[in-house]
Amino acid sequence: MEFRKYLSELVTRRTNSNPKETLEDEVLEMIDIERGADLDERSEVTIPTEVTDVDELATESSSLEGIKKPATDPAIPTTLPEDPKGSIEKENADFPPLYTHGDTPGEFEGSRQEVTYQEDAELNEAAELEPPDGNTPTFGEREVEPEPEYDTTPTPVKSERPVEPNITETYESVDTSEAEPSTQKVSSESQAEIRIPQPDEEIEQAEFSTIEVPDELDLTFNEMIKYAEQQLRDEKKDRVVLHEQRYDHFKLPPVPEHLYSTYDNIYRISQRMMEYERL
Amino acid sequence: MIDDGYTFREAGCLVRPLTASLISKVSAFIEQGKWFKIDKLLWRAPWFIGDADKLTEDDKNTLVSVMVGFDLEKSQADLKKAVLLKITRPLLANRSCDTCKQFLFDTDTDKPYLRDGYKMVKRESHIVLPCDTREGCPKGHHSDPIHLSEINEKAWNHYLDWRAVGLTDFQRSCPVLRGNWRIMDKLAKKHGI
Repeated sequence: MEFRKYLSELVTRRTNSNPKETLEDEVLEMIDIERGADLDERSEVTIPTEVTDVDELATESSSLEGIKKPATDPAIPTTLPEDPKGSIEKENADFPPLYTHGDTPGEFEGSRQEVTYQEDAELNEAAELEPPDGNTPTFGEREVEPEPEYDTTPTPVKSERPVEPNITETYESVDTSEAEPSTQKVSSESQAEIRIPQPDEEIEQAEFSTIEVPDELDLTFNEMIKYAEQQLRDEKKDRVVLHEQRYDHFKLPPVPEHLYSTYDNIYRISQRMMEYERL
Repeated sequence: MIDDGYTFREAGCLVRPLTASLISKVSAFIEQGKWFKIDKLLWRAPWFIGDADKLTEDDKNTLVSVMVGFDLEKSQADLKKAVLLKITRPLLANRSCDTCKQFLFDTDTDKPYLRDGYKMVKRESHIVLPCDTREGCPKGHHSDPIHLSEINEKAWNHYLDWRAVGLTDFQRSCPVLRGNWRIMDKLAKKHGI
């Protein structure tokens, strides 16, 4: 085949197969994966290219400012209109002026009196705010919903778990009264269903008889293994629980379950531990 | 010659694959019909070492099939995955899937389970392979595991050999080598290799 034709075919095939995937994309993807970011999020992020035009830069900065500031409604005035002195006072004639920090010493006396007066006014205001009917809530008070009207007729609650002392009562009642045997049975059954099994210790104790190597002995590892073996031999127990921290100290891979279920394997584990210790 | 695995010997010459940016340049020249520029671009170092004047049409076809036809992106993606695995889980990366099928390994430490301190525990037929579980294996499924290909292994060894002393000017001029080193150097520095 002619070289030029072959090359053009090859190039079109290659460009069509991976149109945009470049090494840079791969590296960026790798970085994102290592950071734990989602790839879809990366695709949304647009990195700004070079800004050559100064005006463009200015518009970008203004748009950024626009994002930072909240949108202002032209209907709501942001600044107070300049008012001739006296008009505001006239409006607030009913409310006495408050004492502020910047008051001059000459005004202090009068303002303190006015403060006391202000407190009275606030109290009066609060009294006025109280609703006449008393049902609607005021500020600071929690809304109280009207209590629902309960059905007073007694109904047996099956799903409710009985409290411990009540169990004896129910059994007693079963023994003594034969009038309501069905409800009592239901309650005992429901209790059996709900009952959560106790921690695994009980189950383990049922299956294996274990000896725990006491920590107070402060044995070395080899001594502990010997102690465990001795205990196994004398007490005829199924297995020995080694001290957890000491076991972790050797940083072993977890042992398969079938390896340490019998007595012999304690020795094997100890051998393995020593092997790793040597390593 | 750059001995990083990405140099191929074809028709008595040495060629290296072209990057995507170079291929797009070639494509643009083809559209414009500037074949003299394509010749100038293709038959020069570092991606071509040989006598360009003596090349026949068939030789050129063979060389171009390597230069343009080689899937560089896929190879570099494989390199990235395999090096990352080799750095983070070296025991798993160096272990073949056949070994994993035969013996039991701890998936946390990648060490084999040992019986009596030295005997490896054989995997029973009912024990599911880690790659067949829902969690999967970091190496991928055994049908297509992540591994360093022959080319990428050479590239990794080349990186380990040369990184202490740096590259020569000729080596630096190759964009493929730069791309590979960028991937490997980043991973190595990140994981303290």
